[in-house]
Amino acid sequence: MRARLRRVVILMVIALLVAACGDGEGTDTTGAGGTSTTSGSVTTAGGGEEGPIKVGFMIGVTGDYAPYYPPSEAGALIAIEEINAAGGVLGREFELVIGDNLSTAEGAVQAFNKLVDVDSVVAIGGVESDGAVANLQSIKDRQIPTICPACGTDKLDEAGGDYIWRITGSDSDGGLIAAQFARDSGYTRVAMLVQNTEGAAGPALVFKAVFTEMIGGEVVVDVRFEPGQASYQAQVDEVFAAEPEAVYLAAGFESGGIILQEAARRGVETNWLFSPDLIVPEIAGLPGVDLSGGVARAAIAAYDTSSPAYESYAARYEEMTGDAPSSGLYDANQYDQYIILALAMAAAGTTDGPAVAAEIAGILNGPGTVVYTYADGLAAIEAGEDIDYHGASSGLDVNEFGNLASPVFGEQNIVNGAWTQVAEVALDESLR
Amino acid sequence: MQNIIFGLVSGSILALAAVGFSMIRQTEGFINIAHGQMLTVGAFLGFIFVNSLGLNVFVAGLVVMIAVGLLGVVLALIVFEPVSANGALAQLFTSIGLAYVMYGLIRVVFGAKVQFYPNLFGRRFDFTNFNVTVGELVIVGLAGASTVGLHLFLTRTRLGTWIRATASNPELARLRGIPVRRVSISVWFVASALAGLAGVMLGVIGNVNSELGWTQILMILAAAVLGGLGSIYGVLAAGLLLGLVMDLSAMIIPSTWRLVVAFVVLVLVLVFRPRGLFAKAERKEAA
Repeated sequence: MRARLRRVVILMVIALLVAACGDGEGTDTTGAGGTSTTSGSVTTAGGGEEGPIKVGFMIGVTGDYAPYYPPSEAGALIAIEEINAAGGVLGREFELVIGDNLSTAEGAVQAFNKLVDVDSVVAIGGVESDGAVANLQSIKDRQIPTICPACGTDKLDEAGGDYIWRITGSDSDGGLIAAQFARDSGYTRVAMLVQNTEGAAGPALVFKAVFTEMIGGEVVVDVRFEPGQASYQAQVDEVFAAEPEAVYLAAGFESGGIILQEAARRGVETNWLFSPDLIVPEIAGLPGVDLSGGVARAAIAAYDTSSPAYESYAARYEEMTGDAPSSGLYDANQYDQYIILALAMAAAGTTDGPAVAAEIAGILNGPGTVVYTYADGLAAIEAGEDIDYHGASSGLDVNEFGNLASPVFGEQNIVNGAWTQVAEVALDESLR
Repeated sequence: MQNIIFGLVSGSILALAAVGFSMIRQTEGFINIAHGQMLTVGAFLGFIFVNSLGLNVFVAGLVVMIAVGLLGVVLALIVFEPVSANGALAQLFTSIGLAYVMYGLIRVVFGAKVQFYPNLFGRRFDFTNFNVTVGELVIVGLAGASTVGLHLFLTRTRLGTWIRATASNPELARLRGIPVRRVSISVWFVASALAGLAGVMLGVIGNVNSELGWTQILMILAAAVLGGLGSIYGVLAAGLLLGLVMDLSAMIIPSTWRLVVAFVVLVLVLVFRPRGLFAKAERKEAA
């Protein structure tokens, strides 16, 4: 009996070790709030003056934002490789420490605390809307320079600029653009189907306000739902019972995919206005759902493909992944954030949070020598010059609240089973 | 009426998942938290069979039932049987540990990526004030057929009679010469097979993800407690009832509150009937 029990325990321990070491999809993270290092450096203790400079990559490796992880990781790794190839920062190697936020606010709090308290990172990137909002006060209290490459939440519209910056467009603009699409398409009756999360509720709020108050349209029904349910039959039925001309769907891809398949199964045809979170390959290639031909429209901050920074980055990204960069996946934004942090540390001459934070607006807005790479920026800084970093994702000028001053948006449609930018979109400022 | 249809669909799946959970509780005497992971395994296996191997979904469902049923038996023999002498609490904690191990292995083997079944059964029938899709009819029909099959198995076969006797009084069953070990293996197979089938159904109407087991086990436990932990038929009814309550409540209050409603109902029932809705009826039946 004891021998059998021992065998069982041994079997379970082996299985546990297999589970802990395995990664299924090529990621190297552990579970909730877990962290791991990448970029080849051996982790040393703490964030002192010796050893590599550790920067956090707090991102949804699992959960609703998981589709963004592979391209995000690629963008981040390209930045780390570029920084270290140019000699690192302050003579020290840059090291990425990954923290899985589980695509939830709770997971983001756990991941933030572990990155800062256990892994002693000096700055953080990769943050998403839920994590940014959940950790906003902690970021300021702990004085951790944090860059959000993909945060759309309107809660950052006027909350950043000291320790947190956002290098993508605000949902306030995303929601406005969706309302603009609705107006330009002649819709007067729109239904809303919105997930109860920060990333979805934010643009939905703006969409509803602009569509009803500025455009004079009618939201015939506004249905909210929780993520993680097995099905959304009732919600889909409630939306289409109201006979809308179009449906504004704001959701992560896990629940969004279920909703779209359910709508297709019920044979309902409509026009869709999507929130940016749905601009992922899983939605474009959803089995049994045809969203091509402009049936589904979305908008997201566009990349300036004529920029030297973009061209250099794009070539490396394509070599690494086999794909072109996609503004819908924020990969170039993930790249830019670490170049920015590295340049800010070089300009400050230290990894100290307040000093680094004080440099960020300056290196993004200029005036100074325009640079497109870390090496060029570092050389200019070492020569005593001010710099103006133009990144792969955009010119990166920020306002006093740490938001992009003039984001450029692109309309995304599904073409041949993939999200594709079909046009640049000029915001109608009269709708603000 | 429409919400009744939705409630029957979600309730049918919950009932299938919960009845196996209850069978294990009755015959083995402990709560098996790892039962939720059987749904996850079933969902992923079904996805592979349908998507990668091109099997018809009904054939895939049958193969999944057999595969997950066998998995359940294997796990029972190598994990639970060795600790059975240590009591229900030890088995409960063993099941929790097994659930975590299975969760980790599922992510290793199947990956952490969310998957979607092909969009199946896409035809809709419209009636005066409700509509129903082929998929919903299939799910309710399959669940119903499984329930009838289970009932016939339990009442018309010798093994089924042995199972009911063992569930009612294991010691007496052993004394009467019932092969308790064979009964145990059969229960594990049937319970796990039903969980696997429930997993496939969840995958068809939703998606397939590694968190499925954790999100479902709480509802399964709720259905089992609501029905009365010792009542297989009570659990079936409770699963349907919970599904109906959740979807009917969406007519009055926002659907974001459906899970809250389910647990409020559970708590209210337990306040007035602590052993569950149908536990008393089952005791009368056994007597």
